Amino acid sequence: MEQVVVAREVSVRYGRSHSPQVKRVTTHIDRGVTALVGKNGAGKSTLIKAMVGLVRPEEGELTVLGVDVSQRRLEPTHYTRIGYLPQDFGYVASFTTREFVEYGAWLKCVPARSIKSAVEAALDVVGLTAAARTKMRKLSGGMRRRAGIAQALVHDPELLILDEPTTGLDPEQRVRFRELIRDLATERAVLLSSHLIEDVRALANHILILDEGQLRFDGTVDELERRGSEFRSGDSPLERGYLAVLADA
Amino acid sequence: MNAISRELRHSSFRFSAVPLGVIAGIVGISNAYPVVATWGDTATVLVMAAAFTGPFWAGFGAWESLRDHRRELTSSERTAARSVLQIKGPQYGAALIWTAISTLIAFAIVTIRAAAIGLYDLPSILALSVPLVANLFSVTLGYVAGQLIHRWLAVVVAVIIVTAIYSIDLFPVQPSWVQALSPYHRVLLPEGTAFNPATFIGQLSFALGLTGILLSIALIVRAPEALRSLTATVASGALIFFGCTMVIGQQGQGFLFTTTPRMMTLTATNPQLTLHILPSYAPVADQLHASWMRVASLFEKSDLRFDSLTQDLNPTYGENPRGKPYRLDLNPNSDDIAGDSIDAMFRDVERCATGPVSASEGTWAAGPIVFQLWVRGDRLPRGIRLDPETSAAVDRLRQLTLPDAQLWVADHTEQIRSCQWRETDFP
Repeated sequence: MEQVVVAREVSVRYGRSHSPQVKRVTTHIDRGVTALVGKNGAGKSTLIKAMVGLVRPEEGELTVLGVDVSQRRLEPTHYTRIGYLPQDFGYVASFTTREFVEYGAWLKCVPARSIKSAVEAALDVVGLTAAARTKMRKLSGGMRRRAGIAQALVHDPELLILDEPTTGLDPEQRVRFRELIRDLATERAVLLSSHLIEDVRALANHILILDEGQLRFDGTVDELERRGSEFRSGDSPLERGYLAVLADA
Repeated sequence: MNAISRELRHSSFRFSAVPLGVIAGIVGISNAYPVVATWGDTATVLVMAAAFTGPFWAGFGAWESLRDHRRELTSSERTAARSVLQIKGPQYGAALIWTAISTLIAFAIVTIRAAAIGLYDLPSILALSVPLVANLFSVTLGYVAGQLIHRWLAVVVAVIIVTAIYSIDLFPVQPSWVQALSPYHRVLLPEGTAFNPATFIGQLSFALGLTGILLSIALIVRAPEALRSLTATVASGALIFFGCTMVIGQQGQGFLFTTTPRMMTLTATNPQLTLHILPSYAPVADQLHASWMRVASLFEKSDLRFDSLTQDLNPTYGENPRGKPYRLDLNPNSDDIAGDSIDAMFRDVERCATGPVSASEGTWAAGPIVFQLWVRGDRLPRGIRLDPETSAAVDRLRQLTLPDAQLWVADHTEQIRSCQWRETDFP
């Protein structure tokens, strides 16, 4: 299977911190859904920022879609292959939903003749066709996040990276979101960071657990569940596995 | 989707362009000549308005430049497949277009009002370009400050820099050509002069070069594509050099040429009177003619009589006045040009022109003002209040019939010339 992301001994320092937020992480991400799980401040967003080239790794080798992202300047064309939804993504308040997604398509150099159909398809995928003309500032938190997902996938990327995508979604929206991610992951690699174990259980075939910047677990859902078989806390096998990993750390 | 059209629709400048254009227009009108209009004055007041709105434009430029910071767009834009130049270019371009629209609004407000009064000379495109370039410079300075500082501080820094550049025009700066390079330097156009295109080309080139240098700095820092940065820097440097050379080369001439403008002639008989004035005074020609016809009638039987007056474009007043009216001193800044021109006459016919009259033995200190107000006509100068005694004396003069008034003037020619009046001289 093609390895979309390869990390070898990657350490990342972000901001003015004295020690790296991500410490010597070695892993790989393949096609399908990979979940990056961890507590708040575990280093998930920092590792993601390094993968999309917003932060340069301090040490190690990080290759995304065959490109070494630790180099000083990445070719802009590299980004046509990556879709990224930051945890706190912004928008121009006066943009309509359609304009917001169009702007994403423009940023990713989608050819002008294809933008309209790409935007309509992306809005359809996230179920926002009816809200296409609604101003972004008037959308609910969940709708806005779906618009963010539409913007991240409008250019049909090979790698889709979603940082805490289910934040602000109600239970029904989260169910729809899972269906959406499942569909998207059939043709591409999806990396999603989350601290919601039930989302991970429903979606991921590969789980990475970060704790205090260190990779504590790298395996499948079944493997994680087995890790928690003798652990008492937690409501589900996966939750017990997650807590067992953190307890062993 | 056209990037420029998208940015035009969503630029924060769409909110500021119209109000700032209207404010600039109002500033322009409030500084313009009150009752006459010239293209030269129009260009001058538009530069004044651009200097007034400059700090606002710089602040808005920085604000717009910080959009990615304000709206948390940094991640999206930094992971875009487009270069910084491609992303920021349309945003900056839209800001410039809105600024140009705003400048046109100010131009339209000032020009429509001037045209309604009457514009008789020819516009100088170069002089009228200065406010546009000044505004574009202000916006660029703010935008670049935002790109370089990338914090709210950029707004303050941009406003301070523009205000500092503008302040060069408020204080005498040596050498004087430094002042002439400022994009906010306003040039007054006295009558009998014309704009010197060469100096304006220098000023505009320098301002455009400065704008280009600012953009080059932003390009080098934010998008260091070597060839583009180098080209922009060299082109801007060349413009700055050219601008400096032009301005320094024109130092003898400065911004103005001395000219001999064509005059318009107003004639009348009974009494015979011909006035030669600049066409720009056509809006007040009737008033001027009527006022001076009255003076000519009053002086007709005396040694002070006159039948022709020509506008003096550069009037100077010495201690040896000619002794009777012989020229017109018209002040375009006055809201009563005719009345003020009659006041100016007294500097030519009276010896009291050079200072206040002291009440020497037997003379009446209020005498000169009583006579002056009577000659001026029914309209008192703004802000003048008369004591009852003076007011009564003026009223008694006004009650004289024309033949009696002419005789009275003829009998008091010496008093008029010497500026020495006794109370008994007045009826």
